[in-house]
Amino acid sequence: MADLSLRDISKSFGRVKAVAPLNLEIHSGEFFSLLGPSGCGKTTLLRMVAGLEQPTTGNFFLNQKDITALPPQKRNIGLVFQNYALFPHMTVFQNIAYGLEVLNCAKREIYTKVESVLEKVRLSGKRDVAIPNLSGGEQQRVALARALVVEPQVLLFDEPLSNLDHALRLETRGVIKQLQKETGITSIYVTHDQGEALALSDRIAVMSNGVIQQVDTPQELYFSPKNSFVASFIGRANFFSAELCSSCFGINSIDENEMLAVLPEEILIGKWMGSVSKVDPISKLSNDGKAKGKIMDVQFSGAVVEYVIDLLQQRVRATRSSTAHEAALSAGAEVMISIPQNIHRKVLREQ
Amino acid sequence: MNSSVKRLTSATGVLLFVVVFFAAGYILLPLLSLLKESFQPGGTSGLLFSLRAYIDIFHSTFIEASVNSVAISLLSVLGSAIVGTFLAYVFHNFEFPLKPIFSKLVLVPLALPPLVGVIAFMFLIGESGMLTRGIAALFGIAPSNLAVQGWWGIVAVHVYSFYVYFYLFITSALNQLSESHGSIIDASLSLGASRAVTIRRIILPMLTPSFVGASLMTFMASMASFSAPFLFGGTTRFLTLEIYTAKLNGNDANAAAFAVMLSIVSVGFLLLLRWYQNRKNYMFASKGSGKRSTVPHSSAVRLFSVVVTVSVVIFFLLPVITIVILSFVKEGSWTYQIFPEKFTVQNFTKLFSDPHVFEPIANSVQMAFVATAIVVFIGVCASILVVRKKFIGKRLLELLMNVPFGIPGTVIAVGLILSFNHPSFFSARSILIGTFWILPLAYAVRNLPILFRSTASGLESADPSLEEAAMTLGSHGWRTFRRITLPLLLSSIVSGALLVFINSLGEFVSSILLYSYNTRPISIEILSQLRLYNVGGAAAYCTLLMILVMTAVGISSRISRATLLD
Repeated sequence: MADLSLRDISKSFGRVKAVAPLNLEIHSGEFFSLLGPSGCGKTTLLRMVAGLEQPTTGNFFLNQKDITALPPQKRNIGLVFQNYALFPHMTVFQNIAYGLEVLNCAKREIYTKVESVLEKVRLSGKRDVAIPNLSGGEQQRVALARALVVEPQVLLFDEPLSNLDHALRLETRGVIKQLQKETGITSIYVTHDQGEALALSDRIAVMSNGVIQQVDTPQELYFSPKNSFVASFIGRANFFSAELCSSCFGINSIDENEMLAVLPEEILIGKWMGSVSKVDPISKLSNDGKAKGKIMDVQFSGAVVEYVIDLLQQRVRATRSSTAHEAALSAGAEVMISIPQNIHRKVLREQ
Repeated sequence: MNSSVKRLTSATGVLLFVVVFFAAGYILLPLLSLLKESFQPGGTSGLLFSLRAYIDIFHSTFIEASVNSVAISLLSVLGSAIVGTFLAYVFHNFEFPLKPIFSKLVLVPLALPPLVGVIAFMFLIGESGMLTRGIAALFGIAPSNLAVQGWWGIVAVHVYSFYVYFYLFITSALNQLSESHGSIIDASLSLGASRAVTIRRIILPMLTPSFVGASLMTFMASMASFSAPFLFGGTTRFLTLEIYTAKLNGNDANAAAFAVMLSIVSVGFLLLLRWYQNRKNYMFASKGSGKRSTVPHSSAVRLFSVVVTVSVVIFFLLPVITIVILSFVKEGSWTYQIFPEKFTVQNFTKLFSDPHVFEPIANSVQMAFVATAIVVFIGVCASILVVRKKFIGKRLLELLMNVPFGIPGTVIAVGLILSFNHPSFFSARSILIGTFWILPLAYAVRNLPILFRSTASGLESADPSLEEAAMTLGSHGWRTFRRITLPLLLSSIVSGALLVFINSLGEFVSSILLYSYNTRPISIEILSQLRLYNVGGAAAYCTLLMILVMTAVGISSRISRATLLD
């Protein structure tokens, strides 16, 4: 069990600022994610924690001990690589045993530890298989086992699921989550997939352009984003200006320099009934004629249906559960749009 | 200051010291010695610096020799391009009986060290050649009218030895074109383009980089060629021969001036080659579908192409057969007859039973081992530095590692002579010329680029995250190198080392300037046996060399195939 703190960490490559000075406290046993689009500096940050890059400024403290000057070999921080980085000339057993051999463990101890970790990652039968003969998901789990078996103080994941297909990704995600819970190992997980981060993490740091935008629990990030980047990256929110809120939705509590962020599933839509003050029997929306839009596109993706609606030249995204009966709404249909009055999610207007 | 670099200082420092010591002492210093010698004022003028040697060679033979060298190189490029491209195209596009065997045989010229190839051609199509005499007798013409010699002899040998650049470059380009971009040819045909249009607009432009690369390589190799002009050239002047002649006549300054001029051309072409290869590359690495798309041809074209190809390949075998036949010829028995008539196995039994005959073999094997050991050690260290580490002067070091590839062996030999014919810091204050060590040193310098390149490209394709993974698992430098890096590099090191070894076994160009009687290698002994008219003895050495080369090539392709299958 270990806690890790990052103080004033920054990184520049020449004149390019990859990571702006930042502070983070990662608690013991926590599953912490770094989430952001590619090129936002999250992998650089992770590599600095591992010791594979040196920070330009700042220090790392592992259990209050400064580890900034320590080489990767002496940090006892494990890393699961995006491309797995399994040694291609070794078997599954040899790969996993490598770190234990470095620690000069006895042969018998190595054997039992490898067997037990293989069981944990559900690969018991694959001990003597050559790496190229494993599937992508199996390779991923060997990489996980190899990092886990030396019992590191902190375990780092660099987009470990990005090379897997969708079904395998969900399955491996479950394995990672369960192992992390069982071992209680402090983990930092880098990903660009917000669904993955939300599902796995205790807390998430959202990064953009080398700057941390917000650090919070998944629920807080989703429902109370601090700025428009977080709102759009995490929840794909729609943004409405003060003018539009007041003219279309009768909401007057928005300042000129603010915008209302509304999640796609919060947008209410109903069929346009042809004349003012008629009520759509399905959505129960009454029509005041103010917010009338036109459906541009309908995308069915299984559990939800997404409507892209043109509202006064602005594209609005609205999602519905597929089970809701809305067969009548198709591209070209005219709809009325409404926002529940209890939504007060305001973000600063971007210049 | 990046402290991940700082941290590795001790290990990097040792590597850097070793590699820089070698590069400075045995690559850079010989070139500087050449330069210095070429500006040496003759006599007692009291000047420190003079252009006398340059003026001298310009007034004597430099222009003539340059024109000849460039002309022979252009002819060699043309001939090699036609033969190599044709063969590559036919083997890629047509199926015919026994193709797998022919596709192996087409590489037979690779198995002949340059000197052996020249000798084989002399006894095949030269004035006393078996083919020349045979055909002459058949039609009742004088053999001297039929003999291929002088210029055409040199071009023939060059095409025989260098067509392989075109063949291999174009073959690999065609393979990539049809395997990873198979759809490009299909796309062109499906858009309604004719066969001719597809070849002209799609295939040829995509092949241009390989074509230019092979042309530059062939041009450089022809400019540097020594054996063919030496044995076939007669009194015609070529730059490499002029260096040799000036050196033998004791005119070091003129030899150096010739060498400097030739090096400028060669290094210029080397830089041009590197620049071109970095500039243009259509070939992306992607997974091949295994399906080949080819351009369809009419059956007449097909038949004609296949017949020509099979004849060419069979002709490729004749020099090898010539050498093998000659190796059984009894000493002094073949003079004016069309074909040799008296055969014996004595030439071979003598190789290993007569200590005097065995000595050159022992010399060559020892020197090849020493050279290979040096090259492996320096080449591996240098490739790790250049690919994995950051330091000031890295580009320069990389260039120095590649320079001997562009510099003719004759020039390297003269440079080494001028550097080590007196006590030097880099020879521990002893004179290396006349000793055993100067020969393996020259072989090592000449062959360093081969191993450096194969190891560096092996290292480049090895994923650096493997080493990082080992680091995060607590593994320190040496263990990571031994357990992770080295096993991954082993196949490129071994195949590079085998190539260095066989090149060193048959090395002739620098040996002829550096040997002494007790250290004479096989190639020199072949030449002296020829001068004694002991054709059988010379051919037996040649046959031994060919067997060793083929064995090494066989092992090397085994290894690379085994790695590919992994």
